[in-house]
Amino acid sequence: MLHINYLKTSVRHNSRDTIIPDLLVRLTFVIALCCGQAVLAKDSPSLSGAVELKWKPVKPITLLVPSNPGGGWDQTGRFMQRAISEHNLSPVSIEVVNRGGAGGTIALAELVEAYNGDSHRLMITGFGMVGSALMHGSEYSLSSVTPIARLTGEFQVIAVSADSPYQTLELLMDVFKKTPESISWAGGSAGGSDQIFIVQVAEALGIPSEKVNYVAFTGGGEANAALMGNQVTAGITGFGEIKSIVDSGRVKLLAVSSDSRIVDAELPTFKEKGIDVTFQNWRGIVAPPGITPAQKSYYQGLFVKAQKSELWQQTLRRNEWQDSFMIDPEFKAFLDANKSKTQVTLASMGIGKSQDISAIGPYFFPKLIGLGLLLASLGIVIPAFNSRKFTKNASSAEAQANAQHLWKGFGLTALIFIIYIVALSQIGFLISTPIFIVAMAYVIGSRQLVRDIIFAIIMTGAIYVIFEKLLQVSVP
Amino acid sequence: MTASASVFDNLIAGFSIAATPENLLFGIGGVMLGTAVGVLPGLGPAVAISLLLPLTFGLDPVSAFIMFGGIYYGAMYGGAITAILVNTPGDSSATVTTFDGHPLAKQGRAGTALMAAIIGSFIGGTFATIMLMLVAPGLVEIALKFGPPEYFALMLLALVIVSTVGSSTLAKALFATMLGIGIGMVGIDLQTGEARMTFGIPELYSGVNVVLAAIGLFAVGQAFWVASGGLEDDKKHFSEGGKKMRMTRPEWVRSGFAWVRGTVIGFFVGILPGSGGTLASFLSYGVEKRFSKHPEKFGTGVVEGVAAPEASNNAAAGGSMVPLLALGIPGSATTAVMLVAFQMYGLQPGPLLFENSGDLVWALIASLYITNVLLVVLNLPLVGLWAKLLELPPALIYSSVLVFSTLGAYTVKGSIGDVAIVFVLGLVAVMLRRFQFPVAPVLLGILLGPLIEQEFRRSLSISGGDYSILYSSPLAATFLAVSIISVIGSVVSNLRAKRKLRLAQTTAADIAD
Repeated sequence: MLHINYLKTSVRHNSRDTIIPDLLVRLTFVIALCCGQAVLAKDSPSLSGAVELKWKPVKPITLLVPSNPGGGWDQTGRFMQRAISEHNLSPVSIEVVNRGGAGGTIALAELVEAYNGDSHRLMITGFGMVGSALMHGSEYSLSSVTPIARLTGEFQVIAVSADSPYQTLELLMDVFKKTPESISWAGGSAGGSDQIFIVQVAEALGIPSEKVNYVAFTGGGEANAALMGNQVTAGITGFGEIKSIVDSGRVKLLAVSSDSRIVDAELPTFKEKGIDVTFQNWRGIVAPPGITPAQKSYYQGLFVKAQKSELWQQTLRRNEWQDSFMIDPEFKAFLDANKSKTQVTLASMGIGKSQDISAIGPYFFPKLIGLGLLLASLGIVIPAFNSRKFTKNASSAEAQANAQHLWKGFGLTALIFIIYIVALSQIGFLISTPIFIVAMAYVIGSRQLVRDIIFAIIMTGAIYVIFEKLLQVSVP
Repeated sequence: MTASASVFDNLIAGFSIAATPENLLFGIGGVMLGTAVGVLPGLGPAVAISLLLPLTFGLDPVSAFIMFGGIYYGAMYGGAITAILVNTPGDSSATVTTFDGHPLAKQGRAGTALMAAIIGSFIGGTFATIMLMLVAPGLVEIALKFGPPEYFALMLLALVIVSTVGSSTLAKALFATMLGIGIGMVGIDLQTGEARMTFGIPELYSGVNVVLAAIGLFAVGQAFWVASGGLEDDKKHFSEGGKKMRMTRPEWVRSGFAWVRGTVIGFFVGILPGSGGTLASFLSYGVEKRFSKHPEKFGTGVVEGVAAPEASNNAAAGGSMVPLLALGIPGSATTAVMLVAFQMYGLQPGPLLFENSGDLVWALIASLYITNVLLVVLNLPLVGLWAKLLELPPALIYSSVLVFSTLGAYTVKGSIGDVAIVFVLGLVAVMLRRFQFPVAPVLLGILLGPLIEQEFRRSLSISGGDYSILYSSPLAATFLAVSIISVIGSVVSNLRAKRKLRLAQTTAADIAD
């Protein structure tokens, strides 16, 4: 979006680790400075203390999905968008924007830092973000944002392939108790709901968490494929995510993490099997910090309506999601409790602290690559020394002049590009882009200034129309 | 997917649902939108579909699917257009297309390259759809046999076969590959959740993904290279335009084989969850080079160097529909988005899909055929128009490439940090090219390195640290054996070439003395 409605007030940059004087570090720092760490939005809460009772959005609402397209958060966001727009629940349109990365903590940081007080921005969140924020030592947690509503819940299940030797939970748990390492569990990325759940199960059985042989896969799909192909002993996944595969008869569910048999009357719970663990993965909606109570209550009202809508109820049924709708103050209390319980489990797991059941650990490959680079360098340098006597006369004066020309053009290009990146976040796309095109064309060797300027303006306009209007993608 | 006798009845029924004039219009719109988005660096089919998803709210499912099919194929082909014209892949799976596509454009044969790409896309896409229709369930069983050890061995094989592609010396190719793997390791480790080599910068937590790497190393790298004045010869070709579309008879023959081989490789790689079109295109290019009678000409502008990867990445797109439709498992970013799109229409992909909503599935398959034809029909006449873009002054072309690259990198996640990553990779690419290092192995390392590592560690987790799991299955053992033979072969031929060169140099020095 091109509207620059943030006033930069002060800049905080708390770097947790030692900053290495590396080009990349400095570059990112410059950019971080320019983006502005602490910003004030124009519609931040009024300081007079007077609370407006009625508030309505005046422009399209952006719904951040903290993951790449596809997957649970993306589904939640897009189904919600559809329910609201098809039932005409909002006077303005809702745009879904994906901001993936680092288990959602990138989007969380953005919501807190860049959109503080922005009343037209919401974000999908969920259990995974609680874990990621704790695990990656993020500055922010879900306590930093304004909770709006919890939307869905999904129970965890343990699944085995149809021809597995472990056809009941008892059989599987017997072996798990005796030789925990021999059971490999497939699930999503480290520290996510799947791993946290199985560790809670292990702890309930008195098995130390470091003996849980957890094999992380990139997504639920890949984990389920490994399970079906008998590559792992068992899988941990959400009930909705595996339901259709269960119906096909390829996998069998052993138990579910709910309190009673609410998802499937045939499927026993862990509790009734004597393992005192209940667990619910959840997803919900939050807003940036610093919005007014009137804005907050508007959004809560919106989602109360959306939750009751026919399309949303249909979405819940089709995805086998639980309708665990909840708004403040219960939602806030739930978030706090969820965070502290997860913190305890993560601490006992030692997640993010270099522990790997495969015994080679996360630094084996980087070291191997370092060694490979060293060997390859020797392979390049030694022959070069050997052959020097044959190619003594190769570096002529002409070649040197050429090289100098190269480095000059290269340095200039790099400089202009850095200025452009900075300018994009400072003065916006529409102004900085034509200037950049003209300057770059000059460096490349064009000397027809008028033609270049006309081209630059037309190009910028065309890009703006295509991205902002046609694709509805915000340009920087 | 019952007996094959009824397959054709079902297909005809599918066509009768899909091929209405109204749906054809949606298909045409999808192909055009997809091509337009695919041309932009960084915006591949996954992003294209998720961006255009809201447009299909309220359409009936068949119209929506035919539009998605059009967007998918259109975006795949769009990625090749800029790869050929300006050495700037529109998305990562079109990277390989730059190797020979751009040299062809330099020779004034951009039209020929684009044609080889379109026909390849059509053959790849159509074959994949036929296979999807006839043998999907059986293929799924093979895909499920692939566990972490098999994936590890296959990825290693791919790395070995392809990393020597377009390289000058083995040591330099090795260096570039290692550099790529190193860059690929940056970010949060999937198995332990630990942030590796991120220097505490949150922007690096999610790592350098392949799309960013392709934009940075190739698009930005190319623009920087030209701007640095490093390429006088790159400026020449633009004056020649690129309207020539003709292929010679031997080129047709060689392309024919390349299309077939590329299609087969692409389809099978596409079926395996998690690998995708980029690997397929690299592999088919590597194989084509090995099969060729004149491997030394690869990289200088041979038509089969465009034909193979373009057939391959479209076949992989079709292949990735197999696990999606047969198991409900999305194996790629694009199919993950397709899954969401399916669910929007109340369809749950998986084994029961054919039973529950068979007519819709057949309509979808019919619409894949239709959009494939539309792709050719719509884009062949446009080839001349695209090639005409080369008549713009290079200074303006490459300035615009930088702007599009910036936007492409920004749009992937909406992060300026990603633009910085792309910028740094552009610098790396220029440095490498300046010192005659090949750039392609860096991208390959970024793509395959993390996969190889994860599969290796998953294997060892499952076996409890026992290394024999890596070679105890016949499939994995075969892949490993071929990799080892391939490494020895390259080393031997490299040493031989060096000795020849040294002998020649010695003689030359003797004469000079």
